Amino acid sequence: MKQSMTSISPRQGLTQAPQPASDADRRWFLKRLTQTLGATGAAALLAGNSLSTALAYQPRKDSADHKGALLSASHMRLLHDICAVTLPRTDTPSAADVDCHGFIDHQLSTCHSTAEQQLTKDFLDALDARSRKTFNTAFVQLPREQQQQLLTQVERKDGFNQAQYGAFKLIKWLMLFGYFTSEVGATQALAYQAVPGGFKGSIPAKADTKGWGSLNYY
Amino acid sequence: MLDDGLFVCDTSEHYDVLVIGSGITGGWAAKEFTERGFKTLMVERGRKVEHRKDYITEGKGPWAFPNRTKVDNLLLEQQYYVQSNNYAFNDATKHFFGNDRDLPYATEEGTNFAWIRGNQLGGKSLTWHRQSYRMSDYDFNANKADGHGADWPIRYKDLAPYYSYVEKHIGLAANKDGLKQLPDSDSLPPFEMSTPEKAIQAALAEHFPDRPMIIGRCAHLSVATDYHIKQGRVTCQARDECQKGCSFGAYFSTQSSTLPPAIATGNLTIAVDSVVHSLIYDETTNRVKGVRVIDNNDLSQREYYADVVFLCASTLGSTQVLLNSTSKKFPQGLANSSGVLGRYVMDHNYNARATAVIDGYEDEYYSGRRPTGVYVPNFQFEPSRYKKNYVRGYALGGGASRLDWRRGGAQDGIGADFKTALTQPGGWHFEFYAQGEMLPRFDNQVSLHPTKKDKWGIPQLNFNVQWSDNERFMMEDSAKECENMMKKAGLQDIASSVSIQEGRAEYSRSPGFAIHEVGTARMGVDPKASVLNSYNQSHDIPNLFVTDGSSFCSTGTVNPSLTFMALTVRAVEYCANEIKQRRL
Repeated sequence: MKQSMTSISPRQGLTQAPQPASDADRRWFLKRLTQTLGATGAAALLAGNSLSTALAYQPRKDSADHKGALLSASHMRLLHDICAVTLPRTDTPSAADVDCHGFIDHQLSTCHSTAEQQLTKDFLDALDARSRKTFNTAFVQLPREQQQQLLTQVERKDGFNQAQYGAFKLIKWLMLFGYFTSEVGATQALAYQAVPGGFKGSIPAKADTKGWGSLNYY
Repeated sequence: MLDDGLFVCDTSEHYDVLVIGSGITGGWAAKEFTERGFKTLMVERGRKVEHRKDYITEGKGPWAFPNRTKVDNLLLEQQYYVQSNNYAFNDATKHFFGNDRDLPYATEEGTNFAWIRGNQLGGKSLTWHRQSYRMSDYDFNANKADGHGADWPIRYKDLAPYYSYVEKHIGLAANKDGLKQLPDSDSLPPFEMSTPEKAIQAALAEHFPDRPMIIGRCAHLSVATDYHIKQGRVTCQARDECQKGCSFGAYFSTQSSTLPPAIATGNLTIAVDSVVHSLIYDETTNRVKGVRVIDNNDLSQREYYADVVFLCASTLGSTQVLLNSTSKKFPQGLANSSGVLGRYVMDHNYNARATAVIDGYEDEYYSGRRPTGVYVPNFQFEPSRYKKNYVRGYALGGGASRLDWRRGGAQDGIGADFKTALTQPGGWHFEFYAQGEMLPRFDNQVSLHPTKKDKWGIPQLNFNVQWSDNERFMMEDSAKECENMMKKAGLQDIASSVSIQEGRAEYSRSPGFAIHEVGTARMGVDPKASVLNSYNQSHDIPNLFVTDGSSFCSTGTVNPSLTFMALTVRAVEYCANEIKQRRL
C-alpha cells in the first residue's frame, strides 16, 4: 500500500486527462527540464509524489475491527458500513475500501472540535438505536438496502432531528474529503494531473468525462 | 545549489551595501547592486531556503499529508492563529509562514490587524499571489486629485522604464489590453480564458463598455524565453501549487529569479537568521553605519557595517526597524523628523464578493490549473467617475470554474448514482471579488508597544488600524455592482456578500488580510510630511533608503509587488549614480 502511494506518474496523470498536452510539447518540456535540473532531479520532480508519506494518515484494511483514535470499535464498524453504503463500490473502490472510516476518525480527532466529535458519536448511537427499533437488529447486521434506506431517512429528517442530520452531513463531508483526496479517489475516481503541462481554457467534456482530482488546495 | 561560502555569520568586513530583507524588494536590490559591482550583504531574519532542495512538499498529492493538507487543530490554535486565515496557508505551505507564537504583536482595543509573515530567505516572494499590474497615472495622481493623502512625488513616466525592465526579467504573462487605467506590460503571452469567461467578457463589453474584463496578469513564464531558460527557469506547467515552491522556477521568486544573477556576480554575501534589531546611526556624520543583529536562534548579538543601507524588510518590518532605532536627534525613530513614520497604514480591502451560476457549457472544460483569473480594472479611476457617497474605486478579480466533488457536501444522496455524479465535473459557476482602495489616514498607525517585547527583545508593533466609512460604502457598492454586472451578463442565482466589520473584526475581515500593507514611511516632496524623497531615499539621512511598500502614498487598486520591484530598481540606480558622482 505504502509503495503504491508514492507512484503517481505524470504519464498516468496525463493519459487520464481528457486532452493531454501534445507529445511534442511534452518532449520539449522534458528536454528543457532535464537540462535545467539534471536527469535525476527532473525524474524525481515529474514523479510528482516522491517524498515520504510516513506521517500521513495511512489507510489500513482493518480499521473497522479496532477502536479508533476517537471512536470505539463498534462505532468504527458502524462508520465502515456508512462509508460502504454512501459511496459504494462501483467501477472504482468504495469509501470503505479506502478506509474512509479510519480517515474520518483520524480527522475528527485532529481537526475538529470536541463538540463536533460528540455530535458524531451521538449520531452513531442514534442511528444504531433507530435500526434496532425499526428492524429489530443492529445497523451493521442490516443488508445494504436497509442501511441505505435508513441513511436516506436521515437526510429527509424522517425520524431524525436537525442535530443528527447535521452530524451525518459532517460525516458525509469528511467521507467525500477522505475519498476524493485518497490516492484511489483522486487518481481513479477522478482524473489526476500532477504536472498538467500548461493551461488550456477549453477542452471538450463528454458525458463520461471525469472531474479533476488534482485541485490546488483542499 | 547554494555555496556555503556565500553565507556569513560573524564578519568584520565593511560592505558597500547592506540590503535588509530577501523578499521581493531585497532580492531586486541585491541583484541590482551586485551587478553594478557593489559588495553587498543581504541580511535575512529567517532561515536559509534553497531553491528546489527546500521545497519539501512540492509535488505531493493530498494523500501524502497527515490530514490531507488540513492543519492539526492544536497547531492552528497555538502557533498559527493569524497565519492560518491566509488563503495559501495549509499543511503543504505552513513552513513558509511565520509562527504566530514567536512573532507576537499588539492591537489597540476594538481594532484588529492580520499580519501575515514570511520570515525566510526569499521572504513572501515564495508564497505571494504573483498577480502583477502597473500602477497608472490615475493612481499616482489620485491623492492630488481628490485631496486625500499627500501627493506622490513621482508619476507614471518616472516608473515606466523600470516596470519594463523588471517585467522582462521576471517574465509576466499578460495580454496587451490598451487601457489607460491599466498600462500594458512588457509581457509574455497571456493565459487563456475559458469559453464561458469569453462569453461573459463579451456581454460585459456590450453592457459596460467602461468596465473591460481582461485576463489576469501574473509573474509566470507562460512561455519561457531563452533568457529565462538561461536563468534556470522553464515554462509554467499550470500546477498552481506555487506556494509550495516551484522547482521549474516558473513563477518569480527571489530564489528563481533575482538570487541566481546576484550570486553569479561574486559580489553577494548572505547572512541568514539575522534579526535586525536597529540601525547604527552616527550623529556626527548623519549617516547610518550598519545594523545591530540578534541571532534568530541563539539570541546572540552581532553587527554588520556598510556605506549604504537599503531597508527592504517589508512595509511593517522596515517600519519596526526604523521606529526601534532612536538617537538624540531622532527620539521618535530614525529618519522620522516628519513624525509620519508608522502612520497612514493602508491595505487593500477584499470584503465584498458575488457568485453566480452559468447555465449551459456542459460540453466545455479546462485542463490544468491556471495561476490567475479574470480581472476588471478599477473603473472609478478619476474623480469624475467616483460614486456619490465615497471616493476612489476597486478592481474586480474572479473567474469561472466547474464545481468539483465538494458540491456533494451540500447535496442529499446515498449510493452509486450519488458517487458517480461526483466523479464528473459539476455545473459552471462564476465569481467576482472586490479589491478596493483604502484611503491614507493619519490615525491608522503602527507604533512600538511601550512594554511588550518579542523573544529577541525587540518592542512589539502595536496596531491601531481601522476601516473608515469610505471603505465600507465602497464594499457595499461593489457587491451591488457585481450583482448588476452578473445580471446583465445573463448569469443565474446571483448572490453577493459584504464582510467588512467595524471594531475588532475577525482576522479574515480586518486590515492586513490582503497582505498589501503599505504607506508607513511614505515618499513625498515635503520633508516635513514624508519620510522618503522621490527616490526612496530618507530625507533626513542620505545613505538610508527604504524601497518596500512602506514608501507608498496611496494603495491604488492593483496588486503592489510589481511596483515594489520597479521602485527598488530605480532607487538602486539613483543611489549607485550618487555614489559614483561622490555625492553619497
